[in-house]
Amino acid sequence: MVEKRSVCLFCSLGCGLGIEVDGGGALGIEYYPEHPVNNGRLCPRGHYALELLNHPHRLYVPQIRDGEGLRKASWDEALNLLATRIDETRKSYGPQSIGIVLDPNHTNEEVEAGLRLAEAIGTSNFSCSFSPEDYGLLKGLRGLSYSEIKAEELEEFNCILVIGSLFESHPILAKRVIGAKYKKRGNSLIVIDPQRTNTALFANIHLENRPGSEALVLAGILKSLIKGASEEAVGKWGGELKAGLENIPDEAISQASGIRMGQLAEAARVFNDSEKGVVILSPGFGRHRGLPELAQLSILLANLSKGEKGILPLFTFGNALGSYRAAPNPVKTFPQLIEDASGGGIKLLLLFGEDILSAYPSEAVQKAIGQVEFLVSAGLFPSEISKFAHIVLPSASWLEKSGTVSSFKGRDQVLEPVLPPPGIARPDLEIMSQLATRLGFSLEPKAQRKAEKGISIDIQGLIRGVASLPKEMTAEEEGAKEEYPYLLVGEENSIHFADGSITRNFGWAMEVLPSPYIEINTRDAEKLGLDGGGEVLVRSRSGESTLPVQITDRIPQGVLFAPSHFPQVRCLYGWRIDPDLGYLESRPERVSLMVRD
Amino acid sequence: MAKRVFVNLDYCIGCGSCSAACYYSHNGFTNVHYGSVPEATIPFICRHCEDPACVAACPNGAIKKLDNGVIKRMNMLCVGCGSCSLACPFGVIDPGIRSYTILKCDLCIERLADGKEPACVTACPSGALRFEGVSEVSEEYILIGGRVGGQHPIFRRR
Repeated sequence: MVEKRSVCLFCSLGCGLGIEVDGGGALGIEYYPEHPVNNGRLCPRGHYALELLNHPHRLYVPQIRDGEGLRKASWDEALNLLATRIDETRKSYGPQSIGIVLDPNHTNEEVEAGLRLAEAIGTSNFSCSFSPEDYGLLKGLRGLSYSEIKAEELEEFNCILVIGSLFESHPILAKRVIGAKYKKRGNSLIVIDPQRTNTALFANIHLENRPGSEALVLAGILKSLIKGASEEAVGKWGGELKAGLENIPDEAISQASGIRMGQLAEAARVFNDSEKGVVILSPGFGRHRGLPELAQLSILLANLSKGEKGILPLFTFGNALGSYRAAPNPVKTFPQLIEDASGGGIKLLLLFGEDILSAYPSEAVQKAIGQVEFLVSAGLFPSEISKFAHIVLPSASWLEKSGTVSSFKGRDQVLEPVLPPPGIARPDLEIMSQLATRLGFSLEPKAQRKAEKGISIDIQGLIRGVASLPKEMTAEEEGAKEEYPYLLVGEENSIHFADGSITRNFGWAMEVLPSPYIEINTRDAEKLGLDGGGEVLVRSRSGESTLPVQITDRIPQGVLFAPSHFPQVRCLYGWRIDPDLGYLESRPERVSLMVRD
Repeated sequence: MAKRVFVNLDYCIGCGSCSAACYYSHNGFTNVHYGSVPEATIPFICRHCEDPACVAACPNGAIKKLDNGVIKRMNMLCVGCGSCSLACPFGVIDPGIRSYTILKCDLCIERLADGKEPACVTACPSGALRFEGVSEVSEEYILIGGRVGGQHPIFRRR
């Protein structure tokens, strides 16, 4: 029995894990106490490594559509067919009619290879399917990692400001965050989150904001922070920022965020007075609004307050930062590519990884899939998208391939194959290079990618963005108050990953959380006559679904929470593109409820 | 002093990692269950009692207290009657014991033999689970665990 070590990619922390391997099979999880990020601790998602390696439903052989069904084929047959189709499509519709989409759980090498494959074909339709919250954050940070803060040093901090439900989405940091709070009297944990999560239960100051107003809360904290600060303390951003923030009235902030300025000033004082402080950003799907602003405000907050301060942004996908850095300025972002496809602009689409149909169940994606003449999907498990694919390719998981991935702080970690992939499945890098060979190119590695240095924040743009938030929120509320009286917020948990299309195959996950639910405040439930549960029909502008009810006191009135790892919940968010960001909007959604008998 | 798995409810964040760790180290059966009380999610683990009710309840002598204090279920003797499950005052033995395959918590005997801690303890992301001697742990629990003043522990986090 040999112990092999690898990295978990079910979130951006990049925890190390060990796997006991014996004669070509994975026997058990072994922990990896020397790994700096997690010291051997693992969250439930970390344990799924075993299931990824052993799962009986993994795709293991290429399949080609034959009439209604799929039939098994050899790699030669599948790739030759694909190469022929690419050539044909290129000849008859031009190279721009070919699209390639990778999910951000691929290695840096694979993203680069995908980019080069697209370049070689001559198409600019290459993109990574970041989840909206990751993209917003990455855009705000411009792909930089602000890497001064290490996860392993968290325990030395005196003040930790958490935005989002940290312990639910990244449980591994819990020990250090709790440890930091209890280490010394006077240490504090500030949590900005509308829900009384397990994270918020530990907080000294819990700012229960209205969902989607996190950026405003941060702006309020920043405002009261620089109000009393001297000119030289606020430094190069000071004047402009101060003037900008003055223009956002206190009332607008406290009204839109639901938190009094006094509370914000108190939070600002605590954060400012602490010796070492960190802002942890842990956004979730359908939970936050104005993420680029949120990211930049936290940078400013960290830079303008006294002492040693920093920020620690966390992402949903394992290699979100690496993927963003490998392809920082895509000609087309993922939603634009899908829009193109639904307009008939893309005839051949190559999808690597994520099942976009279950991640973004909306008419736009369905239409795009319908418009595409030839669809190729490479993945780990049979999925919704493979029902429509003309070629289904079996990929190796990250435990079965080599490459590098960048964790949240830009630390590059090397992946080494723990086991060979199941059947004749291949790593996506190999699929791409074989395809390139058949098309007559070679995917030679290019020079090292260069990381951007230094930060520059467009204060004016930032202030504009923040100032427009209350208006946006009220406008949305006014417009939909009658028809959609509730606000649906995505809930994070440590059981499922991203859209859940991978984790819904796993035993423990399905035992614990097989289907979605919707949380509703006790009083709202009374009003609706829901005593002790039942089912409700949830309807939004984009879709509707029937969900079982859980009654709770952990959430404010008028707000609903549902786990965002299920298509039944994701379909309610629909497909709306933020024109400023050029990406899918990340926001809580307005919905209506109807009790089902 | 024999070591046990202790749960510090103050630190538990309800992630369910202990349950997953048990599931993936015991062939897809978990001996750590976690349930919800209004304020938090908390794990339930066998306490390996000094004077175990399950041992007394077993009609076939299938549950034994080993020398190292571990209460172990002997697979070949178990008739699957479920008496132990009913007798357990903490409700930590799964009635699924009738399937003849599930084990009650065995403190990961194999891992202990290698000098490691049980899987649930090693995995716990928040440090709520500890594998310690009974006497070592109690003092700290009084200090942090907040059982002073008669308040429910999870309300003392703030």
